[in-house]
Formats: sequence, C-alpha cells, structure tokens
Amino acid sequence: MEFEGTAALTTDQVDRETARKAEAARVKAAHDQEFAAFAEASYHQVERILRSACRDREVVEDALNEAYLHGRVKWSELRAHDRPIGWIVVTARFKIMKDRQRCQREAAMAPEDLPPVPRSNIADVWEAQETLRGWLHQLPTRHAEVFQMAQEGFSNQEIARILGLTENSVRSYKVAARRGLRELAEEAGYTGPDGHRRQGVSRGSR
Amino acid sequence: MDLDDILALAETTPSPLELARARRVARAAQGQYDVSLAEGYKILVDADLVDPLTCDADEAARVARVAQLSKLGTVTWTAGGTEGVGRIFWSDEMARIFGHAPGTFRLTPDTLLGLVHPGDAGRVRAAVRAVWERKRPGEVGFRVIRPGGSIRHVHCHLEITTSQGEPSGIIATGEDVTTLELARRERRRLAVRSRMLCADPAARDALTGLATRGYVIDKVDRARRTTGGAVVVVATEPATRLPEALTDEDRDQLTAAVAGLLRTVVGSELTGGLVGSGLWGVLLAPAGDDAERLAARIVERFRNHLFNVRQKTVRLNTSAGVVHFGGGISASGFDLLVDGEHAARDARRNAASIAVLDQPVADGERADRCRSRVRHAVSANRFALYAQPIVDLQLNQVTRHEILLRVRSDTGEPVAPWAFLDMAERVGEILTVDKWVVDHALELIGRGAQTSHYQVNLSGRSLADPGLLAFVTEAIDRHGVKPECLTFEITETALIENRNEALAFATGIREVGCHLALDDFGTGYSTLTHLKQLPVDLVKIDGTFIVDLCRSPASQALVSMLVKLCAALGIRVAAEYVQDEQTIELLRNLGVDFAQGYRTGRPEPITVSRAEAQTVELELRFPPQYTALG
Repeated sequence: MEFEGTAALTTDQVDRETARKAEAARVKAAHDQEFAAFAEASYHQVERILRSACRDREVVEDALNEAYLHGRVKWSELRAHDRPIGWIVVTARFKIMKDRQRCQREAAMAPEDLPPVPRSNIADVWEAQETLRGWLHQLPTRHAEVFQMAQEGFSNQEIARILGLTENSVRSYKVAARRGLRELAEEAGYTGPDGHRRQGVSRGSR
Repeated sequence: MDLDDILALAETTPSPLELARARRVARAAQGQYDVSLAEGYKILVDADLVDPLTCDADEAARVARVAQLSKLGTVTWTAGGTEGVGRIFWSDEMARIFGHAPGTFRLTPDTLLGLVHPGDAGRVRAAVRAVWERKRPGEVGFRVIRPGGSIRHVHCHLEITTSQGEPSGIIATGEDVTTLELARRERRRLAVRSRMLCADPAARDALTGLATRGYVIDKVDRARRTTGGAVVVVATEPATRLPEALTDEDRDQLTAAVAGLLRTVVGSELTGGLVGSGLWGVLLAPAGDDAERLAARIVERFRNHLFNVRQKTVRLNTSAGVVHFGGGISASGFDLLVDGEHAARDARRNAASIAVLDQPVADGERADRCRSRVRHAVSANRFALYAQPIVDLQLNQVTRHEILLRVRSDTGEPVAPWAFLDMAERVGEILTVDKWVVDHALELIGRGAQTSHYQVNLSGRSLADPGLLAFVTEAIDRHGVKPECLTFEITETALIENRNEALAFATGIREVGCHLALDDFGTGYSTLTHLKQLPVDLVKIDGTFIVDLCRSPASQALVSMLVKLCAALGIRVAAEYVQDEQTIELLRNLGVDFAQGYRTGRPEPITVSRAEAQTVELELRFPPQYTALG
C-alpha cells in the first residue's frame, strides 16, 4: 500500500509541485503588478512628505530606494495593510533618521544658515512646490511633516500613527504649520488680493 | 496670489517627472528582488512589519515605541486621579541620557526636576505646566547634570496624550543634543568672529592711497633678508616757503597730490609710500637694476610739476637717493630707508638730482649721522610746539591741551615729527628731544595763565634715564608750573626697558602732583600689565580704534570693554583721532572721558603774543571755542 501509495503520491506530488510553482509564479506576477501600481501611485506622496522635512534630496532618494525594495520583498504581507504607504513612510523615515544619527548631518547646517528662499514669480507647479518646500524647511520639522501629510490626504489619526505623535499634537502642529506658512508667504509678498482681511484673520487666530 | 493659491498649485497629481522617478524606483526594487530570488539570497528587512495604521495600543505606548525605534528617550506622565500627582516613568534610553542605569532611579516629578540643571529647572517646569494647561504640544531644551557632574544638553518635545477622548497625560520625547548644541554655538561664534575680524588696515594709508610706512619698512626688510634689491627715497620740499595761513588740510592735500603723481610714475606693481614728512620710499626687488632710471624719472616729473595749494602753484625741490643692497645683509629695512634719505639729502646738498649708494652705509656711520642730526636739531631749536585742545565729554568743553612737537624742515617748514622721533628713538637720542620738549613746554606753560591742563609726551625709552625725574621736577619749579596742571603721556610703552626706573619715575612724578597717562593704548606692545603696575591716571586709546569706531563693531567692542576695564581700575579714558560728530556721540555713550581730534580742534602753534610791550604773555590759540557739539 505504501509503495503503491508512494508511486501514486510521487506523480501526484510532481503534479502538485508543478501546480504550486505555476501558482507561485502567477502570484508573483500578480504581486509584481500590484507593487508596480502601488509604487507609481504612492511614490510622489512619500517623496513630498520626506522632502518637506529633509533638505538633502539625495538622502531622501536613497531612503526611498531602500524602503521600496524592502516593500517589494515583503509585499505579500504589506498588501494586507490598510494603506501600505504608511509602512513605506515609516521605513524611509527611520532610514533617514539613522543616516542623520550616523553622520550628524544636521550639525553641518543649521536652519539659521539656510539660503533664503529665492523670490520668484510662481508661474508653474514646479515653482510652487519648490517655494513651498523652501518655506516648509524653515518650519520645525514636525510641523512640516504633519502639514505635508495632511496635504497628501492623510487623516489626523493616520498621521499620528505613522509619525509616532499624539493626535492632539497633530492637530496643533497642523494649525501652527499653516500659520507659519502664511507668515512666510506674506513676508515674501504673497498676500492675495485682499491682504488686509487675511492679515486680520491671521492676527486673530494667534 | 496668496498661500492658498500656491498650495492649490503645488498640490496636484504627480508630475511626469515624479511618475518617471516612481517607475524607476519600482523597477529597481523589482529588479533587485528578482535577482535575489534567482540567486537564492535573502534581502534582510529589519523594519517592523506591523501595519502602523492598525495597531491599537494606547497613545503613550505607541509614541514611546516609535521613539524607542528612533533611539529617542521618553518620559511618560499619566495624570493621577484625586491625588493629583500621577505616575511618571522613563524609558531606558531616557534614563541613559540622564546618566542613570535603567531601573535604578526612583522617579517622581520632583526627583526628575532635581536632575535638571538648576538654571533650567524653572523653565522646564513652566513649559510642562503650559503644555498641560493649554493642552497643546510644546518643546523645551535644558541641561542635565549627570551623576558624575558632567553636563549634557537635552531637547524634548512635549505632547498631550489622550485616552477615551480625555487628556490623560504628557509624554516627552527627547534626545541628547549636546553635539548639535556645541556645533550651533561654534557656528555662531565663527559668524561673530568673521563679522568682527577686520583686515589689517595698516597696509594702505588713507591719505595717500599708498602703503604705510610700517608696511614699506617690512617689505624692504623682507627683501634684504631674501633677494636683495634697491630702495629709492625721494625727498620733496616746497621750493618757496608756504604761506603761514596754510592749514593741515591744505598740507594733506599737497601730500595727496604728490602721492597721486608718484603712483602714476611708479605704477602699481612696486611697493611705495610716504616714509617720512616729504620723504617717499619705493622698493625695487628682487632686481634693483632699474633703480637709478626710476629715481631720475621720478625726480624729473616732480620737478616739472606745478602743484596747486589754495589757488597757488607750488614747485617742489626734489632729489632722490638710491641704495642697492644684496640679500642677507645685516642692515634692517629701517636702516636702508635712512640710508636712502641721507643719500637724497646729499644729492640736494650737491645740487644733483640723485645720489647712489652701491651698498648700505656701515652701521656705526649711519648711527653717528642720525645722532648728530638729532643733536643738531635740538641745539639749533629746530622744533616748534603746538597745542591741540582736548574736550571733556561730560562737561562738553575744552579743559585740556596736548603739547605736540613739530620739527622744522630745512626750509623752516614745521612738519609732523613721527619719522624724526622714530629715528631718534632707534638711535637712542630720544631723551635729548624729550628734555627739550619738557623744558620748552613748561617754560611756555609757566608764562601763561595756566587755566588749562597740559599733557606732555615722554618716550618710554626716556624713562630708563635715572636723571629724568630730577630734570622734570627742576623744570617744574624753575618755570613755576602748577604740577596738578600737568599730565605726562608715556608714548612707545614697548620701549620701556628698565621697569624699575620707569616705575620710579611714574611714582615720583605723581608724588610731585602730576598725572600719568599711557599714549596709543591698545597697539604695539602696550600691555595690560602696565595698567596694573604703573600708577596710571589716564589711558589714551589708540586712534586706529577710533577712526572706524562708527563702522566697526569690533572697535566698539574693544573700546567699550576698555572703558569698563579702566573704570574698574580707577583710570580715565581719552580717545584720539576723533573726526566726526557721530564718533563723539558714540564715545560719550560708551563712557569715554575725553576726546581729541580734528573734530574738536586741530593743533595750533603756541604763540607768544607781544601785544603789550614789556609783558610777555602766552596765549594758547585754539579755534574759536569749539564745544564738542560744534
């Protein structure tokens, strides 16, 4: 029985093995596709969030490369997450933090030494983003990150969990960041057509 | 356009560039993953695979966990019930930041504050209270004193934790920022340093636009130590006596005009400058072959040029001396310029345009000639005394005068004495000059009403003479001068060679009733030891700190600290070279006692007016009662 069974099992096993392999290949192909779609949809958001807090563009890119690679390796688990983008942000942020702790990059340049944001006429998307980034870099890091994540559509709870903050803080940081940005914008001469009213409003909210 | 418009513009769907980057990153990740599968190795993922969005630990634990992963320390405080104290604990990392082994310290809010530097504890307490009362996050930086006594800088973010919709406590996330703090301070220090550091202004003379005397001497000195070369010294002197009415400004104008002409003849490659009154030095190094031709060219141009002073034309008698020297000779840069000057004088005496020395004069011969020049000037009374008013900045009126020396040139023209005095000091004949000045100044003062306070200069080198004190006291008696109206200013304190004699003179002169001042304080080798050991009553801050006072924060810092220092030591402070109203105001605010300079009054010759027959009355003529406010 056993021998027969063995023989029968063997062919069966081979079949199953082949089927499993085919299934694995199918799953992998599906995951590959899923991952590619995820990367394409999430990359710009993660990049904008990280760059709102980190001035060094290359550091951000390195961190993103590693985070997405690890994301691909663990995609079979990540795909089950509510929003895998959260994990990518967390992973890339840790990578940047470790980098910074290793080489004390922050010590090399202090906010007070930052080159002033160039005053240009904001005519296109790229210029708007660059100007905004320049202003964000002048805000406290936490304010900048929270603000940018909110811009990318994350809820307060999501932001709190991804950045490791309390929800109370997220609410405060968001308000503080917007106030800081408005001040910087007004300082740079972007007061809108109705400058007085807006100034009054911002004074009132302080 | 305002912030909202900018935000709207920036917040768009991914741009083509961003999409391209996204695809590239995805492809790279996919590629590396596939290679790892094909080659059978594992890519290590050290990150936690928990979905950050679904974990539902309580808020404090969640924040603490993220902090721990980021190597940040946390202190968690949970508000207590009716007791009001609550529970407090710190993470192992935070314990380490405070210098304690995990679990060895009994933490309460008070013991924790006890670990904070006493200077910062109040601020930390206030920050925590503000966060809790306003229910808003905050941050605080403070110093921690570790058990061994070492101090670390720590920065903490303070956040309100919420539990079941109610604020439940505070969590502080912090890290040791000592390295950052030190780096920040160093950056700030360097910024201040570079703002305060002034390029050496001694290299260019403001009036002539040429190198200063010191710079020329140093350059010549370098050349004689290295390559050798030649110096050309051009002596210029007005061919006719200038009208008495000429002011210093007119003379300065003439000097500037001569300098301008010299620049055009010599060009900008060669080092040249004013090395004495009416003496211009030019260095040719390493090759001095062209020196004679250059000298002849300068002399010819100068002789043929008509200079304008006050709508009058002036011709300059000009002659030049050329000194060739080899490398590594013993004669100093100063010596070579003196040789050049002597050669130029010889040329004039011989009615030649230039005289050439193929090598420097022997040291003894040069010194003898210098000494005899000084002695001759003294014995022939070829000096004139001037008085410059000094304003008391508190009273805002002239209360003092400095007696200044002018040397008469060959044509009898009084010229600034700095080059002459330098020479006299170097050949050890300054005592003779100083004695002449003391004797004649006291004579003039004694003949006058003695309504002012008079400051007379003495070289630091003269103080070494044991007979000086007796000479001065005798002169005071002989001329009937009130000793309390006299201040002796020690110039060139670097040259005080015999400390004992200097101290004996200083003490003795004060016992007589006179005051003692240090001149040109802050430059050269004037040391702070003098302020401690010599019985000084007044310090005159060197003019280099005053001329740029309004523009230079470094000068302001130095002057203000010097004033404080002197006040603490019981010494009054005077400023020289005061040239404008703004400077006067600044000096007054800084607490300087006296100001002296062109703004408060130029030096005027002390004249003896013989208006009434028989009686000889001294009248110090200074410009019509200037007050400091003009």
